[in-house]
Amino acid sequence: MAAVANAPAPAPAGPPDVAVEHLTHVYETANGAVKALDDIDFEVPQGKFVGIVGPSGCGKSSLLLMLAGLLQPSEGRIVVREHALTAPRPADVGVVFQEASLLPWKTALENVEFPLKLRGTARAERRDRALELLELVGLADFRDRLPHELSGGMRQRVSIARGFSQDPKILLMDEPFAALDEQTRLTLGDELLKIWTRHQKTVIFVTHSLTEAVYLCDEVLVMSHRPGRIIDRVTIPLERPRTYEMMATETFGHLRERIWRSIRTT
Amino acid sequence: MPATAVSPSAASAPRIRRGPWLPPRALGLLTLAALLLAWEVLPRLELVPPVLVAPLSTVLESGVASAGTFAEAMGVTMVEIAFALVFAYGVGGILGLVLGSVKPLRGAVLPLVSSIYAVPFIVAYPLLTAWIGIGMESKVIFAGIYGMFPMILATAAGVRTVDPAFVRAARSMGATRAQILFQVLVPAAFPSILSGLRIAGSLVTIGVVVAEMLASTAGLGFLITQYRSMFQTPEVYFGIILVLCLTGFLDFLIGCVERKAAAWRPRKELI
Repeated sequence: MAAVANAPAPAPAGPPDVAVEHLTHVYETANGAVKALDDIDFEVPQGKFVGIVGPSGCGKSSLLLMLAGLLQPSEGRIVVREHALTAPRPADVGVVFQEASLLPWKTALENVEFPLKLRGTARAERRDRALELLELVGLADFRDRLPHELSGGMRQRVSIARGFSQDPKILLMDEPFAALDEQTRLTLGDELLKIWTRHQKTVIFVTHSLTEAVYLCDEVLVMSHRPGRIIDRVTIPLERPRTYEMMATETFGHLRERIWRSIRTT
Repeated sequence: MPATAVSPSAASAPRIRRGPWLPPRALGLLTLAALLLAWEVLPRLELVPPVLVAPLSTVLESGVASAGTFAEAMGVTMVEIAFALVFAYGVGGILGLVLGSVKPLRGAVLPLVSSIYAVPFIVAYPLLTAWIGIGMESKVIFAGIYGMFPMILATAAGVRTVDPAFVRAARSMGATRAQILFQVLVPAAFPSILSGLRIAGSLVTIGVVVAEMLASTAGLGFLITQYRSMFQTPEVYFGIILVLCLTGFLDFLIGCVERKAAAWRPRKELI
């Protein structure tokens, strides 16, 4: 499955965390059926950081909703940690959504606590855990702020902390930095890598920024225009930890170039 | 912390005060004082006939003179309003939540509810008294149902317009239906629910007092009608003042809830 064109993939240890098998999604509109995803097939080994890029409207977001268990595929299936996914499984899969979907009437701390509260975790325990995570994203001093009192970057940090709070094995991120400016985006990307290294999560990261994809990921899946298909898989052989200097290297440029060419030819 | 974080104080921008010549509160009090003064002076100077408008001092005097009668009537009216409010808020709120969050019901029932809301129910009140008499029950039922409709509509509208991103996020965290309803939909819809509380509150008050005026043997509405038919103008006005006090008090209570609940909303949306 993981036959990668430009580099040999390292042998995955154990079964993949996520296996997407021949996924097809068709939805009905007033003008008839539209095929959004066509025979999507890939695996994500445990602990890997995999990016999904593609033109807008390629069904990236539908794919992510399915990976979260929020949308049922028309055909094919998704296997998460060896069990077919039929409904959200928060202990396995956490989601960091595109726009800040933080609850505006809850403080930063309460938002990070929310997934634990839903699960019935004891108050003191979830408070400790949420504080620890806010600390990790550098927002401990802002724990009592409401979302509208935070900047866009800070809100997204809270979202990331919330994604980690339920301690899922797999983290799905749907263009989490899309609404942020360039500097914030880079900083947050670095912070995310730091947290990722420390917590050993499997990450599936949807983005439309090619630089971001190359900088963050182990492997980048390139999707085509609707109906979305996977048209290229690019392994990113850059070593970790990633540094800003790498962006100026020839390898980085080539990888970015290659992804761009794949997208353009669709 | 990297440079992307804004400092805590930067979140609340300084507000520029472009003041009118008087602060709004003082202006409001001044207007009220002028009105009260006019109320006293104009009838005394016979610029308006005293039989139509009694001077304020006479109104208050006659109120004090019949304090017992008024207190009793006010008690009856307050009890009726309280029961009707419980009915309107409780039943209206629950129906609103159900209609707003269950898609098939929403399309089928909500339009019906809003067209029924447009019917002036008061015309049916005499019928209601024929069925259940002219006691307190008829007032409670009439005003309760009257107030229930805006409560249903406001709650349903609030629930329906909640940002689906909130619901999606909660579902991805494994929230159950009940958790989504009570921990996401209700708090998110609260601003709209509050306006339902407000409208239903005033409709219930109107409903009770008007029903008392139409057919009753007790309550402020009954008292006002009775005094009016005997041309005891000062007493009529005192009754009206008491009704105003009741609505003012109700409004104050709702305002307290509102201030508490609206703290999370950005200021610009409050205007």
